[in-house]
Amino acid sequence: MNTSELKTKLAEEMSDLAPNRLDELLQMCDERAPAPPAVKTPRPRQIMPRIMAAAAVFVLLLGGILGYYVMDASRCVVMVDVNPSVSMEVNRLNRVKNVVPLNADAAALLEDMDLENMSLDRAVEALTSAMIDKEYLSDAQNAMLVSVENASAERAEALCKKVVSTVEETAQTNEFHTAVLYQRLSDDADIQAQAERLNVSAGKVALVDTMAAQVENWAIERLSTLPIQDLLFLADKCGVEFKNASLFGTVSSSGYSSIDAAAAIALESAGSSGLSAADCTATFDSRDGELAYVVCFSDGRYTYRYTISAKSGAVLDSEQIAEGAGQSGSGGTVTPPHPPEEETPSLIDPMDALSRVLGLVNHVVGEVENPNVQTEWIGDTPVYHISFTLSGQEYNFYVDARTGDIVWR
Amino acid sequence: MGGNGTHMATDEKIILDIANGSRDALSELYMQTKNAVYSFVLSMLRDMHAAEDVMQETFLQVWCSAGTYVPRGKSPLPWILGIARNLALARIRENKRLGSLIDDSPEQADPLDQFLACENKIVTRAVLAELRETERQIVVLHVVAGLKHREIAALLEMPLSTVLNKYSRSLKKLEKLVRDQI
Repeated sequence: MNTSELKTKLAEEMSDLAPNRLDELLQMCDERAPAPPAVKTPRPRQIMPRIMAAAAVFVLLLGGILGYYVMDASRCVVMVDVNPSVSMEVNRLNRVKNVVPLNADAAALLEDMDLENMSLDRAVEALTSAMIDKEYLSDAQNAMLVSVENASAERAEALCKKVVSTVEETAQTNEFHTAVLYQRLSDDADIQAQAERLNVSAGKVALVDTMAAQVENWAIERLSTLPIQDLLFLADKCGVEFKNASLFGTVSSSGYSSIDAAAAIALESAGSSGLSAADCTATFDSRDGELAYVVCFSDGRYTYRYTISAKSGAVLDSEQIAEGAGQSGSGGTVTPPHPPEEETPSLIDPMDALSRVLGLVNHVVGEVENPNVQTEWIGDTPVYHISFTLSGQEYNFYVDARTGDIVWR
Repeated sequence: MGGNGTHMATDEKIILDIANGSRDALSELYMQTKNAVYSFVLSMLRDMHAAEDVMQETFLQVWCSAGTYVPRGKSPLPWILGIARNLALARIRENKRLGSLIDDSPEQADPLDQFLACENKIVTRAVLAELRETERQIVVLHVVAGLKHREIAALLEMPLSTVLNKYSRSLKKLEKLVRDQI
């Protein structure tokens, strides 16, 4: 019996447990009318006991605050991002004291695990094994981001060695090698605010912040929708330099098609047999949180633009424009191009969009499970794809990111 | 009138109607939530008769204090279960205080044992007989009463991470127990 069956069985077994004594209750209620709210009668003030009580509270508070700072100063946070994103608070003895799932995948992963009070390396081993089991990590998807917050340089280095070696050993028992990007985070309020706004970990924000500064036409918002594997693959292909991070291992490219292969797919789809990959230009793009190649070429009559999934090689969209006409030709699929980053209009805050959607179902953030906001495009309209679970039912909404209008539910 | 569905969303308006003296609203609330309340109290007391009494007292308390309920745009079930918890804790304290008195009454078969002896209650048996006190409460509150982990943490006055970990540990324990029994 698995966990889901167990829960269903328990709910069924206990569904008819309670006796029905409603009549008895109503009779008791008739005998006792509802009491009005209690009115507190103020007591005469006694000065000395109040002074002593206040002094005692002050002493306790002072001791508590000092004690808290002594303990707290030695705790750091280790965040692990693959696709599940997990945050672990670690004390000075490198024992995990608090574990927080930062997204729905992590919450599901941690449901059957108890990492609290484990040593950090055992916790990392358990987490890595679970991710391998659930195929978040594999030979083709070997990238992991590990971020450490609130640690000195020396401690961060020591933790780095511990975590990286544990992850690699665990992967090797499953016959593959990992690529771990390890970074030390400073306590940056902007990063935290971005993390909350984008609903990702602070570590991921720090990573995409670095990439956005070096990779042309990629804003933080779009980068944050990509999984770590795609981000590190993109970083590798675009030559991103990480200043406060170190990469251990090689990011796997076996799960991706090459640029030449993407070009070949585009050319074949357009029926342009006279052209080759050398006649094409290709750049990276994304669609629905998935890395893609944009392949452009011209056969003299038309200019073609194809978006090809970097992983599956599928044609995600295409456009064909008559040379010099600026209009779509008759033969191809007409899809407006993805606007360049500079032309992206100002967007409403994703949290505003989420609040609007939740308002439709009379709930607020915190009352629904697994809320998620992803930035996507429908044609040339930027939208927020909002999903959440309420009372066991999954909801999906698309909100125009410029106007806040619900475009689809 | 609602059945025994413990995961049915309970509208706050019901409490406001009860505060205005509506017996129909109280009846509806009773039918909607008695199972959640009873299961939770049973997980605390592990005594069917005592759990029944506390369940009745809970709804009587709801009737008497509905006027003090502050609407928050959420289900009132956590508020109701909070009342049940306090009453159950008072019962436990009372039982401890009376525990030293000699009981001359003849021994009777424990109805809970009889109930749990039923073959089709293997998971309930594992929950009530094998899990620790807090683990029982967390599992019942989430699986039977349908509370979110965050709500459970607030009700039991525990950190959320502790609730999550105890819940996952309890499910693993139950899986093993049930597997060994089948």
